[in-house]
Amino acid sequence: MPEIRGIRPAGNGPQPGNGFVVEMEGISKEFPGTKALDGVSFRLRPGEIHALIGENGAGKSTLIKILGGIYRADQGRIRINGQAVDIRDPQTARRLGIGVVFQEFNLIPELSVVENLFLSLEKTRAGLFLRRREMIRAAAAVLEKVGLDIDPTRKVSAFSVAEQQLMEIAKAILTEARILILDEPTAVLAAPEVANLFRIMREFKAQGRALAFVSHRLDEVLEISDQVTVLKDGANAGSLPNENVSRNDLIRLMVGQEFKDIFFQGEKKTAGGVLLRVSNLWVGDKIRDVSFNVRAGEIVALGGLEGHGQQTVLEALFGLHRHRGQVELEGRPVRLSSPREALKQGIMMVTDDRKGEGLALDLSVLHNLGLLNHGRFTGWGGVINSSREKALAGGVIDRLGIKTPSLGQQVKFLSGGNQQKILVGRITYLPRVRLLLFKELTRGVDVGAKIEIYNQLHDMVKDLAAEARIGILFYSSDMLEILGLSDRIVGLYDGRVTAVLENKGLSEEKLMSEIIQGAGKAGGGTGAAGEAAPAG
Amino acid sequence: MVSLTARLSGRGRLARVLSDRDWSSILIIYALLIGVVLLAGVVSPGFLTLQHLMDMTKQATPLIMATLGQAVVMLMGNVSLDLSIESVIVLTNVVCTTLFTRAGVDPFWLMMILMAMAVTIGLINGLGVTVFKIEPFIMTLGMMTILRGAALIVSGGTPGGKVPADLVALVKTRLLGVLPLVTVLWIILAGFIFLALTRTSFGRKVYLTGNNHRLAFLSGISPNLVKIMAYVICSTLAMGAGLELTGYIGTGSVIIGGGFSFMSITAAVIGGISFSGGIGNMLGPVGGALIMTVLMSLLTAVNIPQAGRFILQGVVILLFVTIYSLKDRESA
Amino acid sequence: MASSTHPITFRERVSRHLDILILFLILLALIIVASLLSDRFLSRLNIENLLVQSVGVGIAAFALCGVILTGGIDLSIGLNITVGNCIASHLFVQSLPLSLPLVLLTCTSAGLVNGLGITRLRLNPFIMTFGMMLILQGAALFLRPEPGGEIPVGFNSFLMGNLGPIPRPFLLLLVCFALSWVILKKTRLGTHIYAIGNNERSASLSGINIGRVKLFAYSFCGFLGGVGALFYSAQTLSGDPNLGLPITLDAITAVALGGVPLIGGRGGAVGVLFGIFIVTIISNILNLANVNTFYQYVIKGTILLVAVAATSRR
Repeated sequence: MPEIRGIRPAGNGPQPGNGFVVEMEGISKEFPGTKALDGVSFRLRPGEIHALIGENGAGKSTLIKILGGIYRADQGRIRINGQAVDIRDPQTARRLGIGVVFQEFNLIPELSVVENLFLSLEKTRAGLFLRRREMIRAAAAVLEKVGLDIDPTRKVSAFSVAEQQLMEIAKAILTEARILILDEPTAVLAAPEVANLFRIMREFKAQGRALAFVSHRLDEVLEISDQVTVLKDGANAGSLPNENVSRNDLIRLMVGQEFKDIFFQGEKKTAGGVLLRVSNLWVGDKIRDVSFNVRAGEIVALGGLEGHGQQTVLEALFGLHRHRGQVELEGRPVRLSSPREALKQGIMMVTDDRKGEGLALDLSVLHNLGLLNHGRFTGWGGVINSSREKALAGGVIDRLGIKTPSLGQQVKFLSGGNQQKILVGRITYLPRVRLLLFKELTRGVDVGAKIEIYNQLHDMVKDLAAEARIGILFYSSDMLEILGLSDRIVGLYDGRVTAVLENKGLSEEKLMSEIIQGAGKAGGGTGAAGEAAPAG
Repeated sequence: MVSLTARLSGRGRLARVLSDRDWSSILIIYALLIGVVLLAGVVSPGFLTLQHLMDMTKQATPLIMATLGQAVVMLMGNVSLDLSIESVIVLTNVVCTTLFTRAGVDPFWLMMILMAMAVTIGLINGLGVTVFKIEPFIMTLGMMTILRGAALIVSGGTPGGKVPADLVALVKTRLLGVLPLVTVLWIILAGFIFLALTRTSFGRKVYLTGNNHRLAFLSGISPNLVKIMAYVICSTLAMGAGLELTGYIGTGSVIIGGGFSFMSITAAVIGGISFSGGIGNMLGPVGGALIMTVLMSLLTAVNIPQAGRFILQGVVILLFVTIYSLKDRESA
Repeated sequence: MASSTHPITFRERVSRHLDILILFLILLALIIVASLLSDRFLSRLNIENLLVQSVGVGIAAFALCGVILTGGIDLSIGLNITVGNCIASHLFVQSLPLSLPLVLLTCTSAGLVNGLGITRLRLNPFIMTFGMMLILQGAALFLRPEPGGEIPVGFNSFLMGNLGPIPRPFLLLLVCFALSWVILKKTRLGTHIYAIGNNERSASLSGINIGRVKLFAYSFCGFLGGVGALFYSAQTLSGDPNLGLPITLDAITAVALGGVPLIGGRGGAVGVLFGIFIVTIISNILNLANVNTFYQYVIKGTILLVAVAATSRR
């Protein structure tokens, strides 16, 4: 496969008149009910890493889907290497040298890696019969380039999410993509995997290929990109080279607000007594002897590297995993054997997988809001009191500012941020809320909605501060979020608690090092207490 | 900003119970029903008399009951359906006639036994689908075969016998001389199920389970329990249909209710129930069942040979579903 | 940080073939049970009988295999075979060389129509093939209101004879098996079929032409239906409009037993072959043991459910 060496502008293909390999101008796209893009322009140079940022609903996803051939623009022109093109379907995009890696991978889990890499691109004899050995060889070669030393005949499902993402990139390389588009590539990666990804991205760049990526993680954007384009409400809000740009600058372009406004500087609330006490929690062999507390009126974060057990601990507290150890709520031991049990105890989990397990997409807003506790608006025999139900729902909608044309609107038509609000709004229906569990607090949510959610949290805690009864436990892959919101941080490493810190004067680096160093101390003490799993 | 609730309370109450899609599909179905009835009136004189129309509603009773049950199961999503209902119908008939004629069982106890039987069958179906994770198609297919064998065993291969007089009389009864009692029965039944699904907590659980099994679980519902109940409801309704048919025929039969499994599925689909679950309501399937009954009757009246009837049924079904599918895509 | 080498685990290797292994064991168990039940089982006559028995359902099962793998279904396959059979019962006596291809063509077209309805009109496969089933039943009744007609004896003796010790129809089944296996495992069509059955959306976004692949699957299904029609014609020497639905149900059973879930994406021709044998042997056992037909229904149904429950992936 020919590789272009040298720096831009690479002498490959028809020389673009003005040095751009991708030019999108005046792109507009409408969906029923929303105008996703309105006259947007986007230009990509060869040998450039270009970040595309903006709030959810700003249109970034739509823009790259148009480039990838999933959607067709209603208006506007696209030029690749100076030539006007009509990207009518993904195959056309591929032929033009555009490779897209979406957030939801397009890999077929039951098929092998090599079959996936060559899907619809198979090498065949007489156009029909597979040349397996050739494909396996080629697959191994390209996998090596992205740093995957694996057996390509294995099923994709045997590999981790990060590895699968690399496979998607390998696939793009295989199609000789000169233009690589990544949609939220780091959303599912842990730090070392992100570093690997960046290495590959830089190699691409060195080869003279053009790279565009969409991200919510502004730190990463600042670290790796050469150029940043900001979209806001479906229109351009600015495009600037990444020189002396700060996170605040970006946020201001995206949202129009200063960053420090985002996190409320807590009036130090006096925490109440111990609300949740977790003692010697074991979940399989993934969570080992975890103990920590959450006090009433407190926000505790489960911190550490992503994938080190934070999610499992949270889910176990919602009754989703069989566990050993003791959990006490307000001093009394509780058996959290199922979500139903957890809800009865006043423990509520807010998921990050909105569309998958958070919402019933075809059902209405009304339906989705009240589903945790029909008892709030039903009477004898489970019959629904219609006016009460609507009043309750209306109240939640007003208070949280959920934008919907009606209560009967199917939830799938709402924007991401509003959908998230529904998840949070459900809390009001529970008769008794003691502990709120947030999975990945604001993943994939734009800055604007994040702010609203933080404010809601703040209000919720403040409202109940007088009674100081609610506790909040969350985990997040956004360090700054953890630092900005929590009162205390419980650091997990490899399924063990390695640090418990008050959130005072901490920086990202300090926090991380405490957690990881704590692991060193704990790891050295294997064979100490907590190694033997408690019986029962 | 004017409070949303204030703005929303303006619209009709029923309007928000059903979605737009539901309403438009109901409109189509009933419009078509009227059309078909009128067509029948043109083709076959005497069709449009009150007496005959009432007869039609009576004739549609078993199919409507079966379709209602089928629709509830289909709401469970993931291509849920119940193929065993036609065997339940046969079994009901055979058990009823055999126990009554040969064992002289009292009608009351007969009812109890039949109820127990229906519930058990529904439980087995439900358990197979939820706990043993057998696909509904296969599970109910297996059940259908088993029950057919059971029916043959119970009847010893020679159906016949008598049916409790009360049952026959019930089926024959007409209120005010013209309105069949069984028609009133299915109207009440359909209405009850409709209301239960749209206005009760249970109904909400049904739709939620069909739409998003995982979410239902995370919300403290037991989606498996809901599914099992759906199958129990379906079997019970099938048993009811079997009873009605038995009272109508007045004797034992092994071909009773033939084709009901597929017909009820068709009627439900015509009525707007989606295989993916969580979408649709009960008014549509009732209309679908009525349409099919009228069509069948029409074809018999016009004396079209069996071959023609099959072809016509197939064409009608495909036509209907195509129109639906195109409409759905338009609005998407 | 490059990903460390993952050596393929023993567990993975085993699970790849586990399904087939289980089926093989079940088959073995059945054979043992059968030979214990009746000393006639292992007789040459019975074995030949068995092999021929398996052909009818078997060809239908292979027809369905591809379609079910894409996540669809064809309820009309039994009727497809019936129509082919009825056509043959009219035309074979007149001109075999002309009418044989006609039968194949008709059946393939019926499959094609199914495919068109499902891909162009976006109809649910269940509904589309169900409607087709009714239409085909009507067509069969139109062609042959009563069983009858005539199949040239020469055709029968050709197709139903033995090649050495092996009955010819069984060879026909093996050909169908080989064809299916090659298509599924050795061609890009096969890869695409699995991809679609596994995750249609991803497959589409990866550039697979879903419509074309499905059209092929349904057409091929119809084609094999035509082949099945030839077999039934040779076997029964007449046209029977009532063959219909039981063939479909048995074929679906064989496919499901063979490890292909109704949602598709998993399983293959080898498993289906085992499924066919299992279904056939069970019938054979029940007959040998002189089980009352009524009880046969119950037993067959129960076995289906138990087997599927055991092999379905949790």
